[in-house]
Amino acid sequence: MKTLGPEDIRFTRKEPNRLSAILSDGAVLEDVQIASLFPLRNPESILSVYQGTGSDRAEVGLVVEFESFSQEQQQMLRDYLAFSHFLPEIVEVMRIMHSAGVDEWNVVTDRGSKVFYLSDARNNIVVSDDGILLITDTDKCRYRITDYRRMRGRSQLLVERALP
Amino acid sequence: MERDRIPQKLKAILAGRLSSETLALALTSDLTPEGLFGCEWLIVTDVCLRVFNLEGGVGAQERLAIQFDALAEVELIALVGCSALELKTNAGVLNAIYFSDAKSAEFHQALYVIEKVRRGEGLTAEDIASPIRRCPKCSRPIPEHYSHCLYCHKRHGTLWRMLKFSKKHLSLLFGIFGLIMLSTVAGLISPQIVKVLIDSVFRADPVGSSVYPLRHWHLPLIGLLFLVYAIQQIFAGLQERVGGVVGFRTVYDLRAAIYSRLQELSMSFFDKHHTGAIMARVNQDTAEVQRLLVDFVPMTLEAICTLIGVGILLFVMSWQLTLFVTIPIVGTMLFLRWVLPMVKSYYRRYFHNRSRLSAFVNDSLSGIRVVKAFGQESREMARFDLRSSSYRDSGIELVRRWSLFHPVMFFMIMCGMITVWLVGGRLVFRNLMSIGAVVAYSQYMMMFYRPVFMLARMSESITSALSAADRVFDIIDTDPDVKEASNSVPLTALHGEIELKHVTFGYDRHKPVLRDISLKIAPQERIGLVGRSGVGKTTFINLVSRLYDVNEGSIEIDGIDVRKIRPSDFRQQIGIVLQNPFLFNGTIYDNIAYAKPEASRESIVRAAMAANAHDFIMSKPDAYDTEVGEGGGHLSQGEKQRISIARGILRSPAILILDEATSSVDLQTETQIFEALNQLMENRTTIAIAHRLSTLRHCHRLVVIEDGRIAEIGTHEALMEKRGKFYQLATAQTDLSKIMDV
Repeated sequence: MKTLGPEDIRFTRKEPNRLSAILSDGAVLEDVQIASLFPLRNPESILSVYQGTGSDRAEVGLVVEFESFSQEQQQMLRDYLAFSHFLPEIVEVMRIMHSAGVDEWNVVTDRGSKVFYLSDARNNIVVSDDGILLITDTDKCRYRITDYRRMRGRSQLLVERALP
Repeated sequence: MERDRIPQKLKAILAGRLSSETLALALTSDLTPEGLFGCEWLIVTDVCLRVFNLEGGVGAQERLAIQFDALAEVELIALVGCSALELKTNAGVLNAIYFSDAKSAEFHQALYVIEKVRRGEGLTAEDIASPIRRCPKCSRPIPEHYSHCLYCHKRHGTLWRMLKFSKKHLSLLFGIFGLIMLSTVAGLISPQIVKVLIDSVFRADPVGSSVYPLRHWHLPLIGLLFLVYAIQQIFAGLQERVGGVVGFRTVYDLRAAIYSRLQELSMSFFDKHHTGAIMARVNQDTAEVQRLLVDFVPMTLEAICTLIGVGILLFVMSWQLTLFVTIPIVGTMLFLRWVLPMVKSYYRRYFHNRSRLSAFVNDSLSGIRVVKAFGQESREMARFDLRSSSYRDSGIELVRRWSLFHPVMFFMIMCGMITVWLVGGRLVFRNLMSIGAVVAYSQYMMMFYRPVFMLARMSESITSALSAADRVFDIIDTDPDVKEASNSVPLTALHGEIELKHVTFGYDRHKPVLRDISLKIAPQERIGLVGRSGVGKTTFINLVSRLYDVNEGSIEIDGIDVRKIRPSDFRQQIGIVLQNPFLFNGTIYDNIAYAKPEASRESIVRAAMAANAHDFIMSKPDAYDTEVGEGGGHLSQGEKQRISIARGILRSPAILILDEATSSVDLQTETQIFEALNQLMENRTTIAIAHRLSTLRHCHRLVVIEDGRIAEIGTHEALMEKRGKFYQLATAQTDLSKIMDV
């Protein structure tokens, strides 16, 4: 396992949402991609740095100490992760309307307000032991609630009513 | 695709820009470049690609404009939950527009359109038609696997449709309705008898107070009361009996319809839906429909009849009193409307915790061997305690709430009764109502509250059951992707020639797995498919066996397009041996005979012998009558594989597909299976997939697949000499097996 620290790799941003990297030996890696190994529970704990897609995907190494990078580098990586891993966090549930087997959810997320439709809650709402809810809407887009038990009163009540 | 939805302020800008250009495509994204929910417009003309931003209320702003001359490549980059349209220009690479998975199908089509426009090709109506179906009423998108708008779909349509399954029991349905009416009417008579008893029979002569002039009516009226109660119960019992019969028979028909449809549906349906979800629809959803038809519908009808009958009687008996009691009735209904959803949420939490505990115990005990091997008993206990205590706490919370609401609810009901005695009493004092009438009125009030409470509690159960019915009808309404053509050709004997002509296919039409595959396989030729995991080998054989239809191109069997061959004839001529053979619950004999139920016992034994299965079968105490268990759980992998091969031998197909038939067994068993396979492959066209390339030595030709295309074709020797892709794979495997040799 090749680990990468700030002394091994430095990330640069050429354009919004495109990263390059310079290794300690001076090699320049164009178009690197970053993926979190634990995107749901601990997105910044370990990151995979890789290039290419599909069968050409090659991992450059793993960032295991995210905090050891400078604030600027951390923010760059955070921005990239936010771009490449789209999983809106529902922070407030305004309304859930039940109608004919499909529920209309009107929510506020960390990416803005959204109205989506959910059918077959039994299969499209997954609850983990630690209270993480993953919701898949009728367009196959996913939303997350980190811990529905800690939501504000009305939001929690609405979510609990919608649980399968 | 969305050109008719271009907003006015953007149209105004485009009017100026497009004077010399022709609009080819207009499409919205649902994300901004910052990754927030928003909207940007992708506008493609015959010479240029533009992105406009309409946020901020300052009119449309052109964020990006790239001429096609400067564009080297356009690509869709798939991320997690989203994608980006990436442009490679002479100056560099940039992401033009960003969208969530909801827009994926449209942007894949947009990419196709952009490529066509760049090549200077004309666009057809199909090219620019949106892949997203929209509801004509509310314009909301209709999700991919649904036949109707989920939002506009009328629930009563579902109920009528369900009742149509009961059509053949029409006389019984009328009978049920009649029995409900009679039972209700009988129930309404008894308070009137009580009224007569109190007002007339138990009324003393005002002159001589010990004389009861109508005393002789006492016994007859009591007898009548008894009769009325008895008749009411008899009708209720008959209604329940007949209703149950109709309900169960209807659900039987519904279950048969859904199972029959499932047998007809293509593999693509089973790919898109979890097996568990499908099983839930067949088992649990039909059970809910059963409850709806057997319990809820009759109870609801009875409740409505009672409410109407009692309501009329209350009004006729005393409209003044009825006006007064309306207040507590309305209050009770409002209270129920407010409290029941709240109580239901506690019930949901309770049932949710219960199912989580049950799932955990099931999972943990199924894996008890792993728990003990890793010494994690105390950790499992802690996890159990966490869920069990949540279950306990939610149960306590439910009981606490219910113990609060319940008395309040009944208190409100009692307020209604108190109103009857308070106002009714005053009416008695003013000679506007008799005592018997007040008593009868109070009885009618209790009869009125019962269905109100029942309907309020049942409303969500009915909604849930109708949703279950919707899910059942979703399956019944699904059309199979692989259908029999109206002019299908019967085919009793196959020579086994297979030809793929420019075949392109993807499980998601916009993401092809196989691209432009052309290959001709002679009858009785043995072909080995080779390549890394995920290149499309299994997809290849899925297409040849017509589990899916191609997106482009064609597959011909003996010169006939496979889509024109009668599916049942074609299936008879194909035999498949899989890596993980599936055995049904039953005996070894049943599983071999599955390939040809009409085969004699002797031919089954011969097939088992040819598959090298006979010896191990005879080593079992029950021989061919041995129960294999669920999924063949009582047999080893090698034993299951040989039974699967025996099945194939019995079927004697013209075309044989082997999908990693030996990868799950040890070397010794593999030898036996090899011998059996050789027997099976005699005089048959065979397509075999195997990761261990040495097992494909018997093939006449090897086809190397890479990135969805045929990279190399040739004999084993020719490909090794060529030192291309096959050589790399073969030497890598040889090196690995040397390292693994201990």
